[in-house]
Amino acid sequence: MMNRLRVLRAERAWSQADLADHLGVSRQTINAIEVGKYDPSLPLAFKIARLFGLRIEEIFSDDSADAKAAE
Amino acid sequence: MTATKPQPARSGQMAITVTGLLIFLSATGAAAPKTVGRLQGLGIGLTEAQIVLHVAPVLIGAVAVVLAQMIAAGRSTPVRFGVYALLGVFTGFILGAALDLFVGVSALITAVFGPGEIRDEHAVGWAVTAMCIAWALMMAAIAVFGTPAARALQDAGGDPECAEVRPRDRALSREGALGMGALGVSTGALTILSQTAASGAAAAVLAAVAALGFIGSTWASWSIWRRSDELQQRAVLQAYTGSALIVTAAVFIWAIATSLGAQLTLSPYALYIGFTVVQFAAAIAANIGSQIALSSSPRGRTA
Repeated sequence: MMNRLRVLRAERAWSQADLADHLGVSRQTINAIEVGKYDPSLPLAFKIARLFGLRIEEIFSDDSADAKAAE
Repeated sequence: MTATKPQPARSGQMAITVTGLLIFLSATGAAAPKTVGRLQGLGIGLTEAQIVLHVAPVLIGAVAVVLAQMIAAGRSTPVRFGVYALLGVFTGFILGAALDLFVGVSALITAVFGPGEIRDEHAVGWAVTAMCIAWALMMAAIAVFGTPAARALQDAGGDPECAEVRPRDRALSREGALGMGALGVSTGALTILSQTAASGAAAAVLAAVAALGFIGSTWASWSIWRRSDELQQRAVLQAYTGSALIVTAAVFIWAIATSLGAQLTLSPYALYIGFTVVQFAAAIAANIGSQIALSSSPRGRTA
């Protein structure tokens, strides 16, 4: 799973800890999501989408689906 | 709310912390008689040998930290942990060979509870006790001093934001310190109970301390679990799953070996210490695995 979390966070000039505070999770979780080591649960993904005013698929995208589309 | 620009930990901070710790450990110890004998065999005088055995582990440990930082710089988290673990084990071996640590504590235990027979499992029990207490002290330092303490304990290659301690982190560190401290006290009391011939009121007190420590540790674990987010809870579940698998496999092998006639007897104390060690190892592995990105490159896989 790929995501635009780091970009969206940077646009708002938030640190990882700032975003973590908004979402009620640890900074480690934000970092793990950003670098693609952890895929958030659906409730957390919805929370992220609501926070940025976007749809989930505008933030997260499936690696394999993207690769297929590229073919 | 603004973005903070955390400063990376400086490479010297961790080396100073570790050197300070080694100086403290060296001060609690007495030169190991066997190693003193070997040095005397090389023509070194008694006083000189004792000085060497007190100073050498500190110097070797300090060099090992600097070396580890140089080797680990820019590498992935598991590799960095591996390098530190390897050089940590090496330093521990040197320290153990050079000095009998905490001789005052050992003498105090003998004076209060009588002489005891220290078997291999007791040595492991004391190692677990020491590790719990050291871990508790580190977490307590982070809970009390916050970011400066986290920086002093972090290696320079890590993500700078890892060392930013927020109120939520402080609360978790406080409970973690209480939990680890309680587990250390519990394990220590149980070890004294197991290795000495304590009886009567002394045995009752030791048993009560061990039980209360275990309850305190369990309470702290539960409290931390409730406050943890989904990634942290997943790490805990992975740790327990991993340790359950290892323990089940070990007991299975034990059952087969015993059925085939092997004489493998373990005391409940040794089993408890073994389970604790496995849980520690699983917890560390799960933590590294789940939070592998903690100190990785700041570049994310962005769409």
